[in-house]
Amino acid sequence: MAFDRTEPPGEAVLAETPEAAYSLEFGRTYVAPEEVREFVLLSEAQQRTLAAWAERLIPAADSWPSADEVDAHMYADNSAARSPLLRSMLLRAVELVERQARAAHGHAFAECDAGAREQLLGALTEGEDAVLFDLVLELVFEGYYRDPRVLEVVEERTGFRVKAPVEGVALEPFDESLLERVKGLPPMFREVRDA
Amino acid sequence: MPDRADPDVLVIGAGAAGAALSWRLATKGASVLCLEEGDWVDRDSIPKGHLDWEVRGRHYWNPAPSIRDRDVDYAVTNAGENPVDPFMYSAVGGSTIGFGAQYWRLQPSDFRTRTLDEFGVDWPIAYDDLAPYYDINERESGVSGLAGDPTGPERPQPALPPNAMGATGRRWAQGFERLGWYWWPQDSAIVSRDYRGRPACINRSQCAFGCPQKSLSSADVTYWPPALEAGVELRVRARVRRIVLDRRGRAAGVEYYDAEGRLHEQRAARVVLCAGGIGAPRLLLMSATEGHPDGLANSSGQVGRNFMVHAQTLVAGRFPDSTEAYAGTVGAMSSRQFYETDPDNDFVRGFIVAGNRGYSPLLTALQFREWGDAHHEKLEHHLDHDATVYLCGDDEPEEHNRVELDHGRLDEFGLPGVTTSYTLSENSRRMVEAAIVRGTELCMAAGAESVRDFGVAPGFGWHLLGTARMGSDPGASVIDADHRAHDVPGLYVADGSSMPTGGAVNPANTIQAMALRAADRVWDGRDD
Repeated sequence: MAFDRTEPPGEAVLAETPEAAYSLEFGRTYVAPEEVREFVLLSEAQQRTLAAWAERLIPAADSWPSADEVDAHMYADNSAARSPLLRSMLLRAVELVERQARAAHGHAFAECDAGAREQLLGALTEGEDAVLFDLVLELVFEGYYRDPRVLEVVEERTGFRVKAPVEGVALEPFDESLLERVKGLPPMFREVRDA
Repeated sequence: MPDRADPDVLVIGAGAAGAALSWRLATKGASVLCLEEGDWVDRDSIPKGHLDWEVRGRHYWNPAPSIRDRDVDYAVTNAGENPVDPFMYSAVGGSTIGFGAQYWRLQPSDFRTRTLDEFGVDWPIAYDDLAPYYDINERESGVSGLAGDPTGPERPQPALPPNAMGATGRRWAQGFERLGWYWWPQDSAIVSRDYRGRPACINRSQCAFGCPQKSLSSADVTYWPPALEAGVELRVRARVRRIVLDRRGRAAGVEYYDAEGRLHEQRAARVVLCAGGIGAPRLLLMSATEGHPDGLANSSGQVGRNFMVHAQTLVAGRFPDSTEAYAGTVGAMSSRQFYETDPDNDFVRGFIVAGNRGYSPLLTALQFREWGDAHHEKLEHHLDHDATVYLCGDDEPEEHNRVELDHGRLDEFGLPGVTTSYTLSENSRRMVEAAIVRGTELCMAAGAESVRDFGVAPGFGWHLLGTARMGSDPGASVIDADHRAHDVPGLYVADGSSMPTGGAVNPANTIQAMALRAADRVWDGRDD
């Protein structure tokens, strides 16, 4: 995507249409909010790693809670647990970042400071393990942006009325007077003799 | 042995086309049996009935069958230089259960693109052949809109007034006015007033995530209730494995699996295939016989070829004020200013410029994928400040773009999946580049501070067309002007696959109008 430009592009870019293998598993990995009560896949140590990872993906700021504060990482655990491929990928992701933290800093990922964690995760975004990072990001984002506490802040900070898609909302009706000019224009479509 | 008294017509597929066609036939007195591989939508499962609708929509409601991967789905793998991601649901109502409901008519020129522009092929029918069926379909579906658009032929006043426009609709209108372009409020199959027992839209937005209150005119809530009342028998979770012929080579019925995988044989006087741009060629190819070794109705070699998805993209503008991204129908205001061939362009045919709505929280976050300390700032900058321009252009039918069977990925009962292959034509590439420029102009004229676009080939598979096309020449098409298979008496195809070219607009209205017309042709030809 060509972001935030103010002029037409000189030459439009070809879009990339990646289809990550893990996304093919998503159909079977929905977990309802009331079903997310405890971890089912990760050990306690792994939970701490994933919590620290989630916190770096979406840190607390202003009235925004961090992703781990709303248990987005528990959702990631529960969702991944429903697919053999996702189970394996999430475990691999957690083990990889843990191993790299110990190699680089001599202690657990969760014990690294924010800067070190960010650096470790940034390194993960490139190369063949980027798909692991992408999976964690997508699941943590999902867990975050469905949490009622987060949705309240979404509305407060952005104006996006989070209940409108569920409950509806009043909206300005169509104003036909806006068409005054167009109604005065001549017909503009191609006549086809036999049509 | 046959399951029951043979119906006059057996319809395969209960989506947009199958629903309309079944209803129309039944009202004429035909006995109709429709087989649908999916099921009725469990209305409690519709994402927008729940606060976590965005997450539900990415999982079990995902429009990509390979991701959804339910037991009623078959796998679709996407290849080619510009793979597309097909939007298709196996359900009563088909893909309309989550469609955008933008209900355009084709233009008269769309039926004569070869003659006018040396583009694609001419249709064997003309706009006037379809116009009466557009009228019927718009009435039955409950279209909200306004007659009088000077960029199209005259037509009756829609049943309902235009949907609410909101701040974003007004913004697009102002943008069009500043540019001096033609524009008009978007026709939508979303009821703006209570209509035939369905309540008026209350602007819940995000129609792709289903409409719990039935304001969205999906075929399960428009055509199916009256079709059932008129006597159509609908069997769900009935997966057709092949169309069968009698000894004379005439279509005689189908073999299908029920939900438990038990085989049934169902005979009928006529068979109408309404399985969509991917499902229809799949079934024709799966029905190969000794006499039809390359698939049924495929002596032309055109079954599965000419796969068209429209030359589409989006431009998103970022506006300083709220875009009410949480509210309203998908379409707001649209323009056919650039619909026809312009000799000054480096491409032929054209595109629409449609001012639509904005994005939701999770989708915004996932589009940018910003993480770390900048995450919230990025979200706050864009959420409820973005609105999109949908650009849809005429896609050239090309033989190399196609749908084929995939015997490597089987469905629940061992039937093959599908591989699509799609490469954008040079004409389409140039057209989308030009469309992005126009979309950018509209955003800026409407007050955007900046824009972003989704590139030339974003892979949108929302419109699946052309793979069993209609034509006068049996050597270059699959069905004739009356939807009859050239090669197989008693077999008809009526759905998106029937369209020889796609025009430059969302095709649901045309697909259903064609299906209604096909119903009349089937019934009128019942003595053949």
